[in-house]
Formats: sequence, structure tokens, C-alpha cells
Amino acid sequence: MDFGLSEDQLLLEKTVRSFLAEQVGIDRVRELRDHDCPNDRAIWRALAELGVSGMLVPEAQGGAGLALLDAALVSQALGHAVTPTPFLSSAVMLPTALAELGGSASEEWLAGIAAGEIVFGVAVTELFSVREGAGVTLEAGVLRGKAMMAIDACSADLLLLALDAETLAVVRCDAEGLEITRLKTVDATRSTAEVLLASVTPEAVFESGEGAGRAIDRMLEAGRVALAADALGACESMIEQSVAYALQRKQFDRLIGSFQAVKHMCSEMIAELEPARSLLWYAAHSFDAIPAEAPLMACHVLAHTSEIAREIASVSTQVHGGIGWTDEQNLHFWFKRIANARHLLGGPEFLRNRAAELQGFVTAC
Amino acid sequence: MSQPSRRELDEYRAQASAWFQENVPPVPDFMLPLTFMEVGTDEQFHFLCDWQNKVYRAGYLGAAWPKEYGGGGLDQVFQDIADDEMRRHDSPIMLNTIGLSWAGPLLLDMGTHEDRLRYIEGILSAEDIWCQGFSEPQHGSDLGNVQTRAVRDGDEYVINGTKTWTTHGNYAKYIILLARTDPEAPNKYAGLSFFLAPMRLPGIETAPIRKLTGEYGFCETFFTDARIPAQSLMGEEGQGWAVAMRTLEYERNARGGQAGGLSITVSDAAETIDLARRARRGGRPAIEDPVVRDKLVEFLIENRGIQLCRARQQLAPLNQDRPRSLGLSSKLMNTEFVRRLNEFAISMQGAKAAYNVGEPDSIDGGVWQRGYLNAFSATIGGGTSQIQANIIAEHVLGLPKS
Repeated sequence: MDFGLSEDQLLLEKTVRSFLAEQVGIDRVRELRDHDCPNDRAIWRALAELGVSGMLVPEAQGGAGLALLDAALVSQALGHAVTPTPFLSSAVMLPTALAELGGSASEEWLAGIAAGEIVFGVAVTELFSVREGAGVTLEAGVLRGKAMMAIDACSADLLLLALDAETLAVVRCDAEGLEITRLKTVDATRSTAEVLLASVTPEAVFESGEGAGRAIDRMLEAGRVALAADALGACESMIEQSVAYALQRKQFDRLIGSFQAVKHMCSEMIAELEPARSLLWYAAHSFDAIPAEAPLMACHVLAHTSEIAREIASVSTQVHGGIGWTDEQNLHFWFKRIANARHLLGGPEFLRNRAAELQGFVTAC
Repeated sequence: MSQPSRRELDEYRAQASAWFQENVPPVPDFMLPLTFMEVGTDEQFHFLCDWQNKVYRAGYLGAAWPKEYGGGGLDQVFQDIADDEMRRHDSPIMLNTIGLSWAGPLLLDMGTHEDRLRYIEGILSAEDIWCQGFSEPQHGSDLGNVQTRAVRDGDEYVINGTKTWTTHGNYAKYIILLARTDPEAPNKYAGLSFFLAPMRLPGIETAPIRKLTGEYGFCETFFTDARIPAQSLMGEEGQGWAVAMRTLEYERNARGGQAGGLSITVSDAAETIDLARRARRGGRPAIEDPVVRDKLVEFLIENRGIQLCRARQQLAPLNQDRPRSLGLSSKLMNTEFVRRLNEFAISMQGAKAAYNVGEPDSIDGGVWQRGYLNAFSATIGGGTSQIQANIIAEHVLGLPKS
């Protein structure tokens, strides 16, 4: 690896973390849990002012024209604070897809994203997990079908749907025939929805000749890296909370952090972070600078982070004893953020199989 | 020293690559040790001494150490490049690890000019092999409690006691020795002193320890009224623990720079891909079994993570949050990984899983079995995984002592 983190990158990360700590603490997140959609527009606009929504949007459209590595740093900060935002869909996946597609509508959408005025939802689940006959088709110019686990769709303005590996469609969320129903998942900090389409006229359709296949690939790679960063940030917070608890809770007349079993649980968690962190930097860097390695690295980093994150979520909860298992304590917000992230863009089993395919281990029977 | 240019680094790499390509010896007809801790036969010993000497004379060991003592006087980055090329060309290990990674850096850090002139070149050339006298039969994990006595008598110290796990004990010319000079000190650590002493003296005997693999490499060392020069003392009496702790830090952050070289054969999960293709499961290549394939990919990912950690350790800006975490967790992670990787490889071998080194029909000459059994020297030696976990808990996370 031939890079470091620049002053600017570190400054942006620090600014975002300070903003989140001051303006969107866990008590605010608790409040948002009870809203119809946890993604609050005022918060998103404030983040837009910090340059977060337009991070990957080209400067020509009012963005910062930064790289995935920068977005990974911010994503980590958002996971660390379990902040509900449409960052994954609107700040990462959409600009990445639109960069491959081009066109005047794309430019308008990008400008809107950078300004924090346009929020996009993303429906891609059927590319890697099809349930209940879900899927969306385009026939005679209209869209029909169902998309499950659409990300950030609930209070979005527009929705990007992958119809198959080489076709994308954009619909307005207030379009006739479109029904978006927020799903009650374990994670109240992330908006996921079921989308029903009954003859919906799309705003735009992109097919394989227009770069849709590549847009989908790159969008998934970038999304997977950003999601891994989010989970990693959540892991870091869970470990910090565990250590803080172990340094405060006493039993048998001593701090529980002095018991070797508890110490080892914490050590093993922090040790697991290091390779995950290394994989994250390299995966982000690959996406930006070594595109041939990006597809494999995206699979690797998300698969690995999902596995260690689940373990860290579990062990952190154990360290907290009874209180960690209740809503009295805030720990479960992070636990659930991690749990939901596991399947959002492909679970680890799927991703490892995809990695095996990419490496030529899977031969056709 | 000015920063070397990209061009200089690339040229150096190209030269190093060509040199190793040309000079890495063919695999001999006897087994080479996997790590510096397993040099058990004269054949292995001479082969590795010759090789280290050759690498040093070519300028690829100690490249960053001061020229006046026998080093290359270059920037550390050049030695890192040489190490990388050694890895890429499957170079045999540098056997004089105690000298290269412990005694040498200690001398460059706090030794006298005369000591450096006396010892450094021999460390690099492998003409002077070093061993380590730390652990004792009764005091391993609890190193601070060692009881080997050093009593000052005129211009000598008289040493009595037993050390164990003395790597290269039977071949070594010098020893780094942790011994107790003051049994009455207020705490166990304050009674310790650190010595750089000769090994080939009356009163010092070694007895080889045989490992469960049948190989040798370690010794027990018996000191019976052995007299070492008083100048062997490093620092002051009572500073032994602090000096010993310092030597353990050098692997991460040597003040004189790293001498370089590989002290262990690095496991590469990619070798299991080939094994998975060759091994059979239900009459088909094991790699076609989705369970095997899934595990294989998990190991490849973990391996990648470990390799990237090695690279990231060199990049300070990527280690800001908890600067000690990466360095202090790598032994725990890497050694446990090696054990599990070998387990996985063996799990693909069916009925032949038990075939060991020496059995003509063994898979890959029994290298996985040997690797698996030897993996425990790494999860136990140099601080057990459980001690590592304690260290991480205390020094990275600030949790209290148990």
C-alpha cells in the first residue's frame, strides 16, 4: 500500500464525528426510532453542509469529488454513532452508479444529492437474494413487481431499482402505482422497505448498452465497502462500551474488568478489529486505484467484517451482563445495526461463494 | 538522511529481486526448520549459517544498521524491501534471530561503542550465534520470577541456575541472560539484571530438548559456578526487567532499525487452494465441496487480512486510534491462524491425515502435520496466546491486572 491519510481526510472525519456526538447522540437516535422513517431530513441537510452527502459527487455538480476511502471514514463514523441517514444509498451507491451512467438527469440528481435536497432509495436485494417471488420487470414501458429490503426508500424522493444484473430503473417515490412500506426489522436506525410496483412509469431506464451492468457492479462494490465500514465503526463503539462497563461495574468486590475471562473477551474483540481494518482500507483503496482487485476485495471485506461483527456484538452483550440485554441500556442499538447489516448487500456465505467464483474455484458441473 | 526517491527504491528492489532469484539455494535433501527455533541438526545449522552469511555479504541483512559496525547505513525502507524480496523468493530463514532482533538492537540502543564493534558484525554474518537465557523450568509465563543467580565476585559474576527453551543453546557463542542479582529486592522485578555473556565457558552445559515432532532446536542450559566478565552487565544491577522488556519491544520499534530477515517461514493460505484441488471428497476434488470451498475462502480472507496488517504496521497514519493495538495483537492473531490453517489442510486429507513426515505416502511429505504440531511452539512460546490476551487487555484497553 502506498498511501496514508491526509490532513483533509482526518479533518473531515473529525468534523463529522464531532457533529454526530454533539447533535445526534444516542438519545436523539432513540427519538428517531419512533418516527415513520428514522432518516431525518434536517440532520441530512446539516451533514450535506459538512460535505457528507456530496462526498462522491463530482465537483461540477457541487460535490467534493472525493474517493471511496474518504466515504469509508465517514461511514465508519456513522456506524460508530449508529446514526440514521441515507448515506449508503444516496451518498455512496447512487453517485457511484450515476458516474457510470451519465446523462443530464443524472447530473441533476447528483446536484440534488450534494445539496442534501434529493434522497434516493436503492432496491438491489433481488440481485443476490430472491424471496417470495420478488423481482421487478419492465414491460411495455411500465414496471411491475416487488422489491424487498429496499434501502433508505421510506422518505426518499426517488428510488433506483436493479431489475437484473444489467438493467436499472429510476422511479419517483410519489409515482402512481408505487407503494413503499417500511419493514419492521431488528434495526430501527436503518430504513428498509418493501416496494410494490403496479404499472409504474419510470423516470429513466438504463440498459446494458448504456453501462448499467458496470454501474450495478461498481455500486455494489462501493456499497459493500461502505457497509463494512459502518459495521466496523459499530464494532469499535461496542468494544469501547464494553471496556467502559468493565472498568465501572463491580462484582465480588472487584471490577469485572479484572477478571481474566472478561479481559480475554475484550482482548479477542479488539484483536479481531485489526485485520478487518486492514481489509477495509485496502478494499476502499482498490476501488479507487486498483479496479481489477475491487470486486474480490469488496466481497472479502464485507464477508469478513460481517462475521467478526456478529461475534463482537455477541461478546459485547455478554460483557454487559443483564443490563446489556435491556432497552434501559443503549448497547442493543449497535447490536442490531450490525445484525441488519449482515444481510443488506449479501450475507457472508453469499459473498464468499461470489469470491470463490471470482477466483475460479467454482467450475460448472 | 534524505528520503530515498521512488526511483532509488525501485532500482533497489529490482537488484534485490534479481539477487535472490539467482542465489536462493535449491531445497536441500534434508528438512529445513520452519522457524529459527527449530535448528536441530548440524546439517540445518551449517546450511543456514552459510545462507545468512551470504545474504549479509550481499548487503541484504542489516542494511539499515550503522556502517561503522558492519551495517549498510541505509534507510530502513531498503531493508524492508529486501525482506519483502526474501519472502517473495521463498528465502530460507535467517537463523541468528536472537542476535538480529534482540541482542543487536539492544547494543545499538544502549551498548558501548566497543561492544558494538565487538558484536554487531558477528551477529549479521552469523559467525557469532546468540541464544536467549530467559525462561526457566519453574518460571516461564512468570518470567519476572526467574531465580538463576548472578553473584558479583571481583571483576566477574558467578552464575548458578537452569534456563530452558534455550534456542541454539548448543551452537551459540553468546547468550542474553536474565538473572537475579538481588534476592532481597523489594519486589521480584527489582532483583533482576541483564547480561550479554559468553556461552562457551566452564560451568555452562546444554542438554537438547526433543519436541513432539521428533525434532530438536531448544536446550536446557545448566549454569554451575560459571564465571562471566562483569562487563557482561547491560545497564545497572536491578534494571534487568526494564532491559528485558525493551528487547521485546525491538521487534516493533527498534531504535537502531531492524536488521531484517525472516525468522519464520510464513504460512500462505494459498497453498491450501492447491491442496483442495488435489484432495478428494466423495470422489471429487475437495474444492467442489461447498463447505470446503467456503472454509477455504474464509482462510484466504484471513490470510489477506494478516498480510495487510503487516503492511499497515509500517504506515503510522493508519494506526492512530490505538497505536499499540496492531503490534500487540499480531502474535495472537497470526499464530492462532497458522494452527487453524494447518488443521484445515489436514481435515482435507481423509484417512491419510495421520501420515506423518517420513511416511513415503504422506500428503506433501507430511508438511501439514509437521506445521500443525509445530504451530504450538508459536501459540505457546514467546508469550502464550493467553498471556498475549492479558497484555492486550492491560496495555491496549487499560483493563486492570487480574
